[in-house]
Amino acid sequence: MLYRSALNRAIDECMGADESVVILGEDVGRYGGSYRVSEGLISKYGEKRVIDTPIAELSIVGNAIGMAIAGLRPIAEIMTVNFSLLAMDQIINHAAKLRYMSGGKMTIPMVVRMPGGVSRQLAAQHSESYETLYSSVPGLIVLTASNATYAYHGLKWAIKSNDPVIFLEHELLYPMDMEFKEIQDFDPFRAEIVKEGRDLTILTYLKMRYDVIEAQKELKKFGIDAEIIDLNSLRPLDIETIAKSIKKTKKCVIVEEDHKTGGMGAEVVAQIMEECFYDLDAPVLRIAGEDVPIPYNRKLELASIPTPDKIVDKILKWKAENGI
Amino acid sequence: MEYKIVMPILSDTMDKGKLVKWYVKEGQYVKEGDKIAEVESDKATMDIQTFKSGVVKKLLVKEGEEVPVKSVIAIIDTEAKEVKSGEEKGKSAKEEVNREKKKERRDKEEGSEFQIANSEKKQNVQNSKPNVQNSSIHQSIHPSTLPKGSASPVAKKLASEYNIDIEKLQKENRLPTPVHEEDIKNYILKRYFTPAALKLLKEYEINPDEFELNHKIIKEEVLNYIKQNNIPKAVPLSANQKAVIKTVENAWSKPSYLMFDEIEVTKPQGIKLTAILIKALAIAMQKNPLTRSILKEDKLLTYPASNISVAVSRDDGLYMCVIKNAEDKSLQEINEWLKTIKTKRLTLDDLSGSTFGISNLGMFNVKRFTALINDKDCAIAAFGSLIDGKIKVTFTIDHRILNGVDTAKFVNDFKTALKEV
Amino acid sequence: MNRARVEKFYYLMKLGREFELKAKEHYMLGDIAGFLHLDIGQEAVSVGTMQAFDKGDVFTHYREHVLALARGMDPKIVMAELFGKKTGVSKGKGGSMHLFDPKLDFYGGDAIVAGHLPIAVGCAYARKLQGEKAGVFAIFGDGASNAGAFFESINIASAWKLPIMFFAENNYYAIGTHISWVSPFVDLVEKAKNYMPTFTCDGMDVCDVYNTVTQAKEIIENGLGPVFIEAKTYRYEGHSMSDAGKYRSEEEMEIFKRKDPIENLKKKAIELNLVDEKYFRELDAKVEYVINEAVEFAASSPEPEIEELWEDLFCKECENVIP
Repeated sequence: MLYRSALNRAIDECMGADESVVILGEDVGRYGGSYRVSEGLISKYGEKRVIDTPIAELSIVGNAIGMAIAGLRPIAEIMTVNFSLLAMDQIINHAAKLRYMSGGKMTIPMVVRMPGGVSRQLAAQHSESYETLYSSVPGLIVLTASNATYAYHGLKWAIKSNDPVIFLEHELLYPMDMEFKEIQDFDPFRAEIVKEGRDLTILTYLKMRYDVIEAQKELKKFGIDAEIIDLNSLRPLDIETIAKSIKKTKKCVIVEEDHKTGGMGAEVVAQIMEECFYDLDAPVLRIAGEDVPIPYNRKLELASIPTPDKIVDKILKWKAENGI
Repeated sequence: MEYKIVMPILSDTMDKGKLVKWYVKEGQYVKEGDKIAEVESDKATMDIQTFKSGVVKKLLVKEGEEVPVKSVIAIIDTEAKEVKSGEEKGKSAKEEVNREKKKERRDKEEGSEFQIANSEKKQNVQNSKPNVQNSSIHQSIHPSTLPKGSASPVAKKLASEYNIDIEKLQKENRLPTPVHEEDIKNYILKRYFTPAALKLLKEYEINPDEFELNHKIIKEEVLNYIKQNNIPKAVPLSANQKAVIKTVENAWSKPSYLMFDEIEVTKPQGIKLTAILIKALAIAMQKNPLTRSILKEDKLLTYPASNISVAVSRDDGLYMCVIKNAEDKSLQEINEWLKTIKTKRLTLDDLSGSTFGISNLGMFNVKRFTALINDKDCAIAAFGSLIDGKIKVTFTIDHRILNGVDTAKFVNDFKTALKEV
Repeated sequence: MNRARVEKFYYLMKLGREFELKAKEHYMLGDIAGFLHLDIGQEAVSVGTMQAFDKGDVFTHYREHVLALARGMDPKIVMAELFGKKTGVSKGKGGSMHLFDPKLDFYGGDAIVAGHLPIAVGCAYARKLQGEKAGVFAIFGDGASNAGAFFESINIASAWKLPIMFFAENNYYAIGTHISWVSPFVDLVEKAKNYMPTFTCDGMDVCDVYNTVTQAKEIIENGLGPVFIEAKTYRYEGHSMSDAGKYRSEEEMEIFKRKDPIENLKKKAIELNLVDEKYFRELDAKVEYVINEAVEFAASSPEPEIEELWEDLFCKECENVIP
């Protein structure tokens, strides 16, 4: 199943089952969604529930909050996480805090969906990963969907959830054809063990999952049997699954597309230190994007983010430097 | 001049495109900017146009077909003119010159366009493949230098459980700096097990934790443990063993039948009996093309040469070594081949290209046995021991290639050949 | 309309059109990537405004290739930027959406819709403070006129009487969303008329655009505060390369194509006997030569070095002190 079709199916099913579910955003209706996620929804549910908005991100999220307060279940689509910065005030100052500030009296059942990450040469204002911004905010649930199975189940869960969910997607994943599994007892907060291994735990999420899988095939040739874990949920973080794996492998590498400084990996490392410091046999290695805005030129763009060969290279170097 | 229209890149995420509909036909004249096809990308369905005028020479992709971006989908002949009368008349000479100039530039540009596209492609391929060579530079990386006493958290934890003084051992160069879990584990093993005992642990894949680590454990104690718990010694299969297993498993699934016979042979001095059998088989094979045949997909391949696979028991295992053109080789040459093949370093060529097999267990006093057909061969002959000038032979035949009658004729030719060798 | 002006307008619009067509072709070949927003059909706006507003600072959206060319940026370095080459105006780091050149006072290429408007207002404030008369030119689309930043900008500019020209390039569509679906006004001047003097002009007529900007400019230069101009225009292509434009009808497209700014200027100039057909052919040949030269330059230019990834993050002074 195409990744974008999995998302479409989740939205479609939720809209079909519950009249209070609406979707709003730029070009979600008549145009069919800039990544075709909302394709076909307007003809099925009409323009009152599939809402074309102006280019006004602050209002897209703000309106969604208002709709949620009034009893709807809005899905706000932001074209890319870069544009969500315009909606940051509504997301952080309002969506995340209304329930708490009201002593638990207000309920905000909404999802803000958006793709991020480096696609292909979209340059600095369209290529960022801001998961670290959202996952640092109390009051938000932050989920990432790296595959069709999680995209479908995760988004369905998010739409049904009574709390605000930031649902992060990746531009390069939309057209990918992926394996799809129906899951009965789906738990959105459980990290996925993508591949078991003995020697080393690699933590990753979103599109980097696929680069790590590629890298792991190469590492195998060097006799390294890596365990790959896809975090899925960034807030809350499934530290239990992470710790269990590290207790087994004693070594941990984090691969993220985000900038290294203050990136998601930084928080993960901190939690690992608290949870399983005495199980570590080497310093945790972070493989992340360079601390620069994303450049347009393809060569520089690839140099600014982890790639399978860079992941292999950095792990081998790290092993050599640490004598492991 | 040919202008190639390629499957365009229409979005940042598009790898392939589907040709939905052609708006033009072969032979049709198109003007620069004309729509020529409808293409579906991962984001939308849209029209593509030609950037040059000319006649559509070839449409290379069918409607509904999906092709990678940048692959050529149509060719436009830019020389060919639109068939319209009187159009070309009345243009000034200067315009003609201008046009020629423009054309030159265009030609030049076209050439370079495609070069760029190609070199870009090459670069991308290089980029996407993990560069293993790079890792050789890691050989020269020196581990970080840390003061004695440095250890990973898990190594420290383990060391304290076993009362190991890391810093002291590091100063005595008995532990590396920094020390890791693996080093402490090895140190513990060396402390509690003799080298011979350790070797056994490894061979039998026994977890050292099975023993109480409070005294020196010697070989006998481990052996005793192995016997009491009936632990197997696990030796990984060699590549050849795995190959043999695959071959015999394949052979078992072939629809084959057996044919038994007895042959008369006189063994000359200084020549192995197997050499005579190979030579006679080779001669008989020349008369029976089906014995020089193998099946490949839906074809029967018949080779001119009598290439015979011979079961050879070597120090490194059983191999079906192939003697090529045995029909042209003298008995001495075959004899010599049989000797060298026992010890020589085998290449892929030594193990492939046969159509018929032979296995001889006569020297082990086995009277009669059957063999399994090797790899793609059509048959194999299994020879027992020479008793009173006679040998019992069993042919295992792939029925898909040879029927009973074919085999019977071959066996008779073989017997005749034996007398002539 | 005079001969020199016709020549200038026609040359720049034709240059813009051919530049965009070549860019489109090379996008499809994979030499250019990412988002590519073409200005085809809107050349009269890009050329008319830049010719009239020839002093002062320019802030633009991301459909800015032709604005940059009309401002005087060398087609070679613009094309090289689209190719992501080291010789590009932004050294291959910005690409199609990010063309900047302070030497031309061109602060173009902002890819966050309406994101450049508050910045342009800030610049206008500084220019007023510095006693500069020329002021600031800020161009944006109909989509941006719905963003919060737009309303904040016209309010501040008006309240503080800042020397800024807001130029609304109304091509009716924000990607695939028609202005009438998301705005109570299709005429964008309605949004600004209570804040500042407003003008409208025909965005398919380069002379009208030129004259209107020239007229409005006087208000700014005389220190009378901001002005707002709306030009209705039409993009013949999709929003970007990945947009098939299926939300528009063929008829609608035909209406605007009949008003093609380049063809119409040509027709008018010949009618007025200012120039003859041959004259345009010579200009076309010149344009073709310049564009081919630009493509050749872009194609043969080197890629940036990997080291450049970490350069240009801070100024030289800071780089020397930042560890």
